[in-house]
Order: sequence, then structure tokens, then C-alpha cells
Amino acid sequence: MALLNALIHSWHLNNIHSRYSFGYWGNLLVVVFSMVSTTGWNVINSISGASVLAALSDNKCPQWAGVIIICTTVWIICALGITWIHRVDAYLWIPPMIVWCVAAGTGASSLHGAAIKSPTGANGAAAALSFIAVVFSFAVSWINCAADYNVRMPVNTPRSRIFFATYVGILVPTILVQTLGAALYSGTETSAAWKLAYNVYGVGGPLKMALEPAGGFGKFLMVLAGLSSIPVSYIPTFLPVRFTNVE
Amino acid sequence: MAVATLSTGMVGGSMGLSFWDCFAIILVVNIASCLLPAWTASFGLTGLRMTTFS
Repeated sequence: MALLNALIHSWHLNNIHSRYSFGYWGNLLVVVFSMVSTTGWNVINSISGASVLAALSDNKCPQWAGVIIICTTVWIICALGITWIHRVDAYLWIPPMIVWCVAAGTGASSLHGAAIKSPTGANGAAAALSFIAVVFSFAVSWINCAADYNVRMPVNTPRSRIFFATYVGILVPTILVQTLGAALYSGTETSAAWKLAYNVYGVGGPLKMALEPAGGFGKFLMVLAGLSSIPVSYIPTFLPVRFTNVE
Repeated sequence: MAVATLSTGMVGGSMGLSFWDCFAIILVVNIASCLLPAWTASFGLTGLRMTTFS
């Protein structure tokens, strides 16, 4: 309990505490760690978004170009400041939600719950534990920036309300979209075309196949899906700035 | 949630896990692990730093 209290106390003071705990040069190490964490997060986001743009354009927009488009847009919006980030983020959750709903509907006929049989024994345990680690690491990656989404709330907002809103806000869409991802992957086991699309484009392949029945509207939704990487990268990109400001 | 979340959901299948096993893991692990960012969000002061300086 003493250790827990010490941790809570240090996290309350957060960046100031890192400055006074580690000193000027020590805090630079915190900045570097923050930059590494942020880079990893943005790499995953931008590559995933770029794979969707590559699949949409049949590789006319290669992944490296998609990464540049996404990262440059993130940088521009970050340069506008936290107020604009929150203004934009207040609405940019809507297009991806439409994309996932349409993809689930138009791709449903190709999804099969029993398409893959899990391995048993040690191989099954290894696969399950590895996937547990991936899912866990995805959720906890919000830890160092979740509070930054609440800065415009009134200062007297009850902590329980912030806790509940953050929990539901992360939990519900994460479960739904990750489940859709698992379902879309099942299509690669029953369709050679889906399998080929996944092997060539990664996550963008099955998404493209799922949205194909929607025609031109489906292509438009692919663009939205690719660009959905932008809004989730603003705040993490701000993280190193935050720590650097303590200097 | 962005396309990276979709990509995370596909990892289980690519490891050989069935859809229902993936779903069970996604559900249980997220119910537990999302408590952590919700907890740290309730501290609020990381955001205060950003508001102060930007």
C-alpha cells in the first residue's frame, strides 16, 4: 500500500515530479523514453493506415507515401495546438464508426466463426498468451495520454465520472473494432481472394474485400479508414513536448 | 478507434486462434486492462501540463 501511495503521489505531480526527481539531464532521459513510446505508437498507426490506402489504390499510393501523408497531417494539426486537437477530435470519431459498421454489414457473408480451429496443447497456450499480451499492451498504451483528453472538462468534475467515461470510451470501441478485426481475418481462411489481399496489403486487404460490395461508397470509406490513423496520433505526438516543457 | 485497432484484432487469427477464442480474449483482457488508463485519466494532471504550456 505504501508503494501504491508513493506511485499515486508521484503520478499526481507527473512531469514536475520527473523534473525534480531526475534533475535536468535525467529528465531528458524521460523525454527520450516518451519519444520512443510515441514513435512506436505512431509507427503502428501510420503503417496500418498506409496499408489501407495502399490496398485502396492497388499500391499506386505505396505504404511509404501513405505513412508520409498521415504523419505530415498529424504534425500540422499538432502544430495548431491542443485547442484545435480537441476541436478536431470531437468529431473525427464519427467517420471510422461508419466505416466499421458498413464493413461489418457488407462483409458479413464472408465471415465464418468456425473457419479456424485453435491449436491445442503448448502451441495453443503460446498463441493465446501471445495474443493476450498484444491485446493488453494495446489497451494500456492509453495510460500515458488518457488524461490529456479530459483537459477541457470543468476542474470540479468528479473523478468517478472521468474514470467511468474514460473506461467506457476506451473499452467499448476497442472490443467492437478488435472483434471486427478477428472476424475479418476469418474471411482469409475461407476465401483465396481475401487471403491474397491480406498477404499483399495486411490489414487493408480484408477491409477492402469487406467493403467491395459497397462499390464507390466502399472506396470512400476506405479513404476514411486509412485517415482514421490521424486523430489517434495527435495526443501521443504531444507527449514528448509535454515532458520537454518541464525543462 | 483507428485501423490499428482493427489490425490488433487480426493478430489472434494470424497466430492460429479461432474467432471465438479471439473474442473471449479480447473481451476479458480489455475489461481488465482498460481499467488502468481510466484510473490514470482520473488523476488528470498530465492534461493539466499540456493546457498550461500550449
